[in-house]
Amino acid sequence: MLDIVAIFSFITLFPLCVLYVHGCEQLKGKRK
Amino acid sequence: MSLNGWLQIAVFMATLILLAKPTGSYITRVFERRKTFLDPVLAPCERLLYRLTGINPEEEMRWTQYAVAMLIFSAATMLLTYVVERIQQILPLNPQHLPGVESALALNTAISFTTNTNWQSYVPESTMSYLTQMLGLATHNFWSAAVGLALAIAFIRGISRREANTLGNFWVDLTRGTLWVLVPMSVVLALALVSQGVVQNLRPYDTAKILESQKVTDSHGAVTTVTTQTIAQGPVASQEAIKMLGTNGGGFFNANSAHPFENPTPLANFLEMLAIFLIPAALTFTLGQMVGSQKHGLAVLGAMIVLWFAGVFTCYWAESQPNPLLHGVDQHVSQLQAGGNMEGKEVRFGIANSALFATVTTDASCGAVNGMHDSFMPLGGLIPMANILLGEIVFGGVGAGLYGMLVFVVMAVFIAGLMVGRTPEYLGKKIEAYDVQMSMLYLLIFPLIILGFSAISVLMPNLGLSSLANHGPHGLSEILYAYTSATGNNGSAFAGLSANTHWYNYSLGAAMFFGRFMMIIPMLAVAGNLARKKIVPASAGTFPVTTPLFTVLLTGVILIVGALTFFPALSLGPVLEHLLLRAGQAF
Repeated sequence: MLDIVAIFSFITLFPLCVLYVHGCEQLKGKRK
Repeated sequence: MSLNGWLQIAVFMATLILLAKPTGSYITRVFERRKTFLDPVLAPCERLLYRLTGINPEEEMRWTQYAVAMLIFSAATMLLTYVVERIQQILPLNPQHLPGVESALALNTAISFTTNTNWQSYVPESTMSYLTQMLGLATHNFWSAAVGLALAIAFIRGISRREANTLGNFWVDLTRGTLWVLVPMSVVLALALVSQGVVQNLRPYDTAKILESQKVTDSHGAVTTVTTQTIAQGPVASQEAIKMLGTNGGGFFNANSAHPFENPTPLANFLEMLAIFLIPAALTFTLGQMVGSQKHGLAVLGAMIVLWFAGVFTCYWAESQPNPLLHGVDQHVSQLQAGGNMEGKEVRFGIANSALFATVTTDASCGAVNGMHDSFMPLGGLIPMANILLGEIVFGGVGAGLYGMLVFVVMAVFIAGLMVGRTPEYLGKKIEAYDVQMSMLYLLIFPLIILGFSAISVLMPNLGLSSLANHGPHGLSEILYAYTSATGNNGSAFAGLSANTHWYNYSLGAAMFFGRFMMIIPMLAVAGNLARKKIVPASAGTFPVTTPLFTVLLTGVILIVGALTFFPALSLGPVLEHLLLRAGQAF
């Protein structure tokens, strides 16, 4: 049961960060 | 306070400044891929690593590619640590036959060591096998520090490059930072620590017969007579060296650097403090050399020294004061006693070295301790917390301190530009809206995580207050310190809060994760954007970033941002506790 929390964290947190990278880059694009 | 104490603090800073410049020049050579004296040994290892992993060292990365490579590396190594912890009972090098680590704790620890925090919600010597300590934890001490170093170098390249789309190659920076900087320095420091008596072996723990048997009552009221003591040991020196040099801070033992096997002598203590600050101080010289303005590096170093001195002075002063609740007890300095507040401090180090260690470990993102911050006087304990709350940019963590400071530099330049009514410039680069937006994102995420999680913990008694030992303002300080330490990736703790609960393991894990990666990404965005810009020649309206005036402005911006953001929370914690202690009330 508890390993599920860890696995869920791994598969959500890092992709969320990649999305965040994309968001920061997009913000620059919009400013242009 | 004593002259002897101040002399020790002065010798520490003088030695640091003497060593920082040659170390900084060496780091510059390493990252500019110029020749170094270690090339004959390390260059073949580097080439072999690239061949095995299929990395093209000549390939340059945009900031987004650099960030994603860093995230992939962090995810893979975090997963490795988690798995090693969970299955350590079936892996070798576990002479104490310790069971696998419980899932929430394993996740918390994996995040903790990946993010360079080294928050420890567990007793290491009775939880982690030797293999877990070495393969799961000590490796992260190298990797997380090398990641920080790589990111700082990427930021410096962002400043120094003109009209470029790239910041370097993450894998090359990671490899060179580990092989050329962290490993050789750790070997030298580990040997120096072994010479002072720090333990280094793989033996099972020894059992010693104690001189006087002791009766111990457990939580059920059963009385047992204890006649033996287990003496924990292991590969301590090797882990201790990188724990300090990498500003990691996770102790091999629960007592951390207050344990005589980790920090046996005053000289070992001096070397450990020096190791914490050495690379962060050296990086200011690397900054100056790589951007072609040594005076700018010195101006940044100046701001760091001013803030460090303010912290160590206040902490040393506060700890030298007698406790007003101890009536009729002589607490003044004399030939026979240190005086002041010695609760929670090692008599081997005394007040000056405890205050200096506490300041150094929280100025940097280290988190190692040689005394218990929870036992400091309220204003003495305020200093370690305030140091982290300022963003750990006073020397700071390996790499993380410098890039955090450079974000403040961007803000200082922006504010100076507003004052004189011109477009702000930083070393010839115009600071525009996007740079300020990303810098503000970096600065705002930090208090949002700390204050948000602290508020939830205080408002939800079942979650946050059930494992708290102290009430009142001291209890608030313990919670605030925990989230400050986790978000700042420091890892030190106010004792008194039992953090090995599901709520604290998961929420502190989230704080460490977001405090690391959610701040790195906007910082890299600023670096990537700066790299693309042209260099404009300095004019009469350019605010110089190489003068003492800039040092004053930078120091002011750091203090104002930190003070305005966290002063209300600090008022309810250590400041209120100080006032109530004067009125005769303790918590």
